Amino acid sequence: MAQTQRKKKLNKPRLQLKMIGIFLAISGFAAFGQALLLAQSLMGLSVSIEDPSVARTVHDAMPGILTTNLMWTALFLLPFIFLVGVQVTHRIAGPAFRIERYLREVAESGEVSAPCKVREDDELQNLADSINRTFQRLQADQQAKAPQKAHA
Amino acid sequence: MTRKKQLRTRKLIDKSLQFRLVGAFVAVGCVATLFQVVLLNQSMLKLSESMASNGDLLLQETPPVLVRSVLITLCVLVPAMTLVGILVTHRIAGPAYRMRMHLKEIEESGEVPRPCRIRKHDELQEMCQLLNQAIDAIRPQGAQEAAQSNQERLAALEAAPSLMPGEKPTVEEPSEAPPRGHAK
Repeated sequence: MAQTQRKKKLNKPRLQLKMIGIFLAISGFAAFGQALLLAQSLMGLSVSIEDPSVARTVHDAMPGILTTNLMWTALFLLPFIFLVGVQVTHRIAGPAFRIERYLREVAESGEVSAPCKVREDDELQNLADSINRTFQRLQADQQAKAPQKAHA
Repeated sequence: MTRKKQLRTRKLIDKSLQFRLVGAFVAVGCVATLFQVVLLNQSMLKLSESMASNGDLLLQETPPVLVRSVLITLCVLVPAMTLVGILVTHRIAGPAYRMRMHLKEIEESGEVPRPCRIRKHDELQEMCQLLNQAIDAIRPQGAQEAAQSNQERLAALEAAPSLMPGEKPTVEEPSEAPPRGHAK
């Protein structure tokens, strides 16, 4: 099981899309701020060169440059960041999905079959460990208190 | 239950989880910044080539401008992104921590306190509910009954109108009565 690749990349779409949205907002903000800052400094630079034609050319060209810039950003950067976001959030959403499925099984069957396992590189390992330890203890207590029911 | 209104004081609860995500946030922001620099640099190159005079001068002066603006961006952006990242990741790390503490309490005492609850706007709500259901399903019989009567008492207390008219109507106040181990 451990070697199979994940197929479903959006296990918990709500959580993942929310975080990816934040990723996109951050990068969009960063890109936009950077572009504006650069445009402004380049305009300042062109004025400082003592040749009015330079200033005029740069000034005229800047809107076009910024538009192309925006286009490239929307075309390449945002999809790229979306993909990165899916991969990163999957490290949380994947194990969360698995833990939830495990808990549902336990809740429905009323018994702890096997410990809940989470992929090695994923987050929430320690939560899965806590769940396993506690459930083992609870089940041991249950069997100690009502051995006849466990066999029934 | 005053804890509900408390603000979170510890922002970094699960350092490895939070730092890893914050790292991803910052990396994404830096990539975005760099992307812009490369794009604008390219545009300036083209522009200076197309210019009749002084194009070389413009090209010469461009790199320090780029470096300076990148430095400014990083100085502002990295702390801002780190902060946002910590706040966002806390919505996941916080409830995960709460559930771990809840489980630890059960493991150590062998008893099941009242159900685990997490903050309303946090993630992993569903997991918390499932956790309570699963614990209910496998908890020892005696404890189950005790908890049930406990819950009934609690419900009765919550349903009852405030006995002391002088006090503020804090309905959930009586639930503070049982000693709680994990209120640290």
